[in-house]
Amino acid sequence: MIQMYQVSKRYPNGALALQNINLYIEKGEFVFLVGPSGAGKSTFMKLIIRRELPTSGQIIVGGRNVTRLRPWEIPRLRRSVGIVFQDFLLLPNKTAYENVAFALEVTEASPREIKRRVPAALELVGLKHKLSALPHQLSGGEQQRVSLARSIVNNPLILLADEPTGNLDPDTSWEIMDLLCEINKRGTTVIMTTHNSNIVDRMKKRVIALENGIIVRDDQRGAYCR
Amino acid sequence: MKLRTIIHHFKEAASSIRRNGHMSAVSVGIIALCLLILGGFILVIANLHHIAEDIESRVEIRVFLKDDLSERGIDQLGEELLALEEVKKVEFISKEQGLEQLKQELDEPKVFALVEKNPLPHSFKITLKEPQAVEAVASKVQKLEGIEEVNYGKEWVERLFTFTRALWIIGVLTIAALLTIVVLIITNTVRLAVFARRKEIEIMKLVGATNWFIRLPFLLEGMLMGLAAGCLATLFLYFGYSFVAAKVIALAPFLPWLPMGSVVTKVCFGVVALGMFVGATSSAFSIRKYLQV
Ligand SMILES: Nc1ncnc2c1ncn2[C@@H]1O[C@H](COP(=O)(O)OP(=O)(O)OP(=O)(O)O)[C@@H](O)[C@H]1O
Ligand SMILES: [Mg+2]
Repeated sequence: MIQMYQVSKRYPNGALALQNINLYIEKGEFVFLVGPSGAGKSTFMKLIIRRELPTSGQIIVGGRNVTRLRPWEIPRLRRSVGIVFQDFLLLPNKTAYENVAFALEVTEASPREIKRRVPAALELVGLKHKLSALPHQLSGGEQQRVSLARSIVNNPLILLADEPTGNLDPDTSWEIMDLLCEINKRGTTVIMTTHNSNIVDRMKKRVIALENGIIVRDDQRGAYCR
Repeated sequence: MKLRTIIHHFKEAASSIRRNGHMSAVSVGIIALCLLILGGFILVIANLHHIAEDIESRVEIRVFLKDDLSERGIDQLGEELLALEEVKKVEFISKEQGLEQLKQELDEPKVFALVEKNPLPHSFKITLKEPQAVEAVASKVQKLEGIEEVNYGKEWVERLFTFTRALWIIGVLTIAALLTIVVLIITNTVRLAVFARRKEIEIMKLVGATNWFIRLPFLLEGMLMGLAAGCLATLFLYFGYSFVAAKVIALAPFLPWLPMGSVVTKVCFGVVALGMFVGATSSAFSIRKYLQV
């Protein structure tokens, strides 16, 4: 599903975020991406949806070379990849419902479909009662869950979750993990970054560890969501 | 793009204008003011131009004939004059008619009482298709047989043409300058609106919106605001013009002031179209930078 060959990323200011990354992630896999702050995890995510271009190397997502996409081909890539951004990226003047609906509207989905799917997605993340709240009226964890609902609302092939449990209490974190597992079971490839070793240890999934932009460990535990 | 999407974009544009109510109102006001100044200036120039043209059309050449020219010679000369391509009309004025006209113009019967013999020669009055050709035609006529003198008020005509040419150049330059200012102000106004929403644009891009999907509501918003400003400016132009025109006609009824209908309507349409066009294109330009995510 995702392949990287010799991928390096150096930001214009000189920061070397990723170095010589080679990896292969299969369809339907569940992968944890771990490592200290500044290791390059978010950069890794940004490369997959072409929010950034690698300085060198090739990235193949769903059979398409992301580094060679023409500008007008990018939207299709992004629609097939759901993302929970580390900083949520919610629209401040839209309600929770509208923020989620937004991801469907850009795909020109029918109003009927939007009305069916948006509440369902928000219910999945446990925010059914906060449909009409604006982001600033929500707690950090709730905003995070709105962001998660938005990322899964159009059944993406790949789900990138950058610290989806970063602001959540343990109970809610486990609810989110169950949800991600559920999504993974339906065939979606999930890549999740986290600093929570507790979760990583208990889930028993493939773990890719980054340090200073280099893969220092890639543990294939072979376990899938039960 | 589906019809549903376009309707959705219209709603978005309208609600965005409403949401930024204060800012939208200010923008529309500024744009309307620019368009009003531009439109007003165009109307002034158009009127001056119209007046100048009217005066130009009265330019004529008077050809005085030699006394010894036979009647056949006169007819022949008349035909030769009419054959010149710049000439529109040739009118024969006999000695007697000439004297009559002079008497009327001078309105001084005593002078004429002293004159026993008519001193005036026969003459032709030539009207031209293009007043600017007056000098060329005069020198051509000068070379013909049987002509005593050619008269067209050389100095006066030259001054008139200098004036109309200057008016034309000043008019075009000023309109161009005003147009540039209008475009800059509109662009800047829209750019502020786009800048305020750069985050929204980025997020739209990241969840997979196409550039057109993002651009369209901004385009529509710019266009709607331009339309509103254009209509506002038109309103003021229309009533302002009829007010000023009435005053001017009362003061100087001899001026060939442009009627309400023709030019004013054109200028008003132009102002609305310009507002919409500039509003739309400047949003398209302002947004370009933020689409590169
Ligand atoms: N837009 C940017 N411009 C310049 N440097 C950047 C940019 N984004 C990230 N970096 C740098 O690249 C490196 C990797 O950053 P990245 O955000 O990928 O880390 P991370 O692993 O996600 O960290 P965290 O766990 O804190 O989220 C860091 O040194 C960071 O300073
Ligand atoms: Mg990060």
